[in-house]
Amino acid sequence: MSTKTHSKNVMVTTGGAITQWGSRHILMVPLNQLEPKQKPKHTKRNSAQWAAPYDCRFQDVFGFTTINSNYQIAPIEIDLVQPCAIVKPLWVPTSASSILKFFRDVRVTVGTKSVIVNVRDSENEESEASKILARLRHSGPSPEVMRQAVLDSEVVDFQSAIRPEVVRLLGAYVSKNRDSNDRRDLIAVGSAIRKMVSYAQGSELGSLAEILDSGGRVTVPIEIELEVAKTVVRRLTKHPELASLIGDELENRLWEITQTYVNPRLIGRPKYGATALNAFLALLLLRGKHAQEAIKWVKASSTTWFKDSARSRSKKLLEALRAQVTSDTYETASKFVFEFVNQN
Amino acid sequence: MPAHRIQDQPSAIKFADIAAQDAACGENFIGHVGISIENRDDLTKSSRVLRLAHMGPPLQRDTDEVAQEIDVVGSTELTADEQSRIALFIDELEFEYESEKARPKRQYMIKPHFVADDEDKFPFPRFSCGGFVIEAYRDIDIDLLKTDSASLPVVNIETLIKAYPDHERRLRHKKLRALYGLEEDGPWPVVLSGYVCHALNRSSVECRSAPYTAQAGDEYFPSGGRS
Repeated sequence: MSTKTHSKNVMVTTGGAITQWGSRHILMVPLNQLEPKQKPKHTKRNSAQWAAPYDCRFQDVFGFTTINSNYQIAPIEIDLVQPCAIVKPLWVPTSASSILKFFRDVRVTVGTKSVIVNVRDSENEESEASKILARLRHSGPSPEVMRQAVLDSEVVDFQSAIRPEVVRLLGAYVSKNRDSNDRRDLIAVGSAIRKMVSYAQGSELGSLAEILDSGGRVTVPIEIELEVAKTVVRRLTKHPELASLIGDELENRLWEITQTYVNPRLIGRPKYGATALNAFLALLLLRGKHAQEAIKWVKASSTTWFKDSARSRSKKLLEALRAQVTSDTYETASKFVFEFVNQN
Repeated sequence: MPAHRIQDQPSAIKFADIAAQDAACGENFIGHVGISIENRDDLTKSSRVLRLAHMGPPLQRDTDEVAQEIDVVGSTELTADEQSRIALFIDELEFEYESEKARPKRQYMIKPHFVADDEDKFPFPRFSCGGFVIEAYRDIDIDLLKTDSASLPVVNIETLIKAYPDHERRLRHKKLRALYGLEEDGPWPVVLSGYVCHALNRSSVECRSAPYTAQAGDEYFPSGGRS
């Protein structure tokens, strides 16, 4: 599929012309022209910072940058077929010079009531993957641009040859941002973990132990622990053979999580049960030195619902493994899962 | 208690029970369904705003500020343990859907109702709104609805547009609707929200003993359109 850029007019409700900027058509929204159609549902941001032309779905609008008290620039991609749905931010001006260049190039003045819309067909996957990889490689962009690159990378299919590099770049992003106090960074870290694990091989999976190591902070955010444990379960269910390539460290961290959270005082708290369940299942699939202890630990738990969940999920794991692997591999891979199911 | 429309007399709903909304087209066509995240005993026609966990998309846990006007409630009389397990199911998925709020929505799937994670492009599961409810209940070993293609009524594009009016242009576009799993020109066997209401319109024992088989017309609740 080829990439096309169209200068087709789309529905513009805040007035003004569509203006081309370079090869793009950019949406530029004078702040004082904007009245949100509805309050944002999914964000705690001040609604005054957000704006959208009518008919745009509010929660789909991202990447607005306040230029001054009069303008916001929203470089966005508009779906050609559904032109009123804002799909994706393309570019965010990051410096005074780029903002001035933008104004000069599009010849917008304070009096201009313009809406400039980027319209293009969906690009082919390969081209999109290359662009995202280039953004991930570039170490200089603002946190906002980098976050978006990481989020976008999650839903792109990278070619096999570049997957190791993608894993490395996402790993670097996770290391740098997992201790962030900015929730937006943690959300991107979650995306990075899911993508990394879905591409990682044995030793790369082992390096997840570093993410779970609390390091200098008091605790690793529970969301990060959950994403690691959950994605390890997903990966090992599809590739049980990777278990033998993963070092002890990851298993040790998952065992710590299981021991700590399978505790009546903690397990009912939001996300603790889900994290404990996935850490436990990961231990069964890793088939290491803590698998047997983990089974005893969960069996001894007084929390009935957690044990019911563990039993039900283990049965489903057995079914998934049976469907996934040969009978020889199944016997090895399912050893501890099978043991847990049959002891309950 | 079997599924029922909210009336002038108060209805009750508990955490992890199911609530549904009429579609914009009216006529009792059910447009959306989700899981209650609060206990209430005062739902009436004039007071029917409820907090849900639901596949918007993306997955959303409502707050006091953002909640849903609901029209139908249904329950399988879950135990406290089952409620905790549903909470775990929601917790497990919630954070991965946070990412979806900051990029183009790709986590929604119409056909089938649920697609497991894959290792190439989507390292997360995808659901329809009805699919999210059905899979949450399957996770606690309650199978509400038969969802194999052979058991589902087929629906045409016009019915799908009633269910997803905001996506009309995409649904009418052959290539774009394929992104939702809708190949070719249909009709397609699709799980619609109304089917979940009919599945719940049985006793708790029936709901737990066998999945419901949806019938043509079950996209309305009650079946058959205008009440």
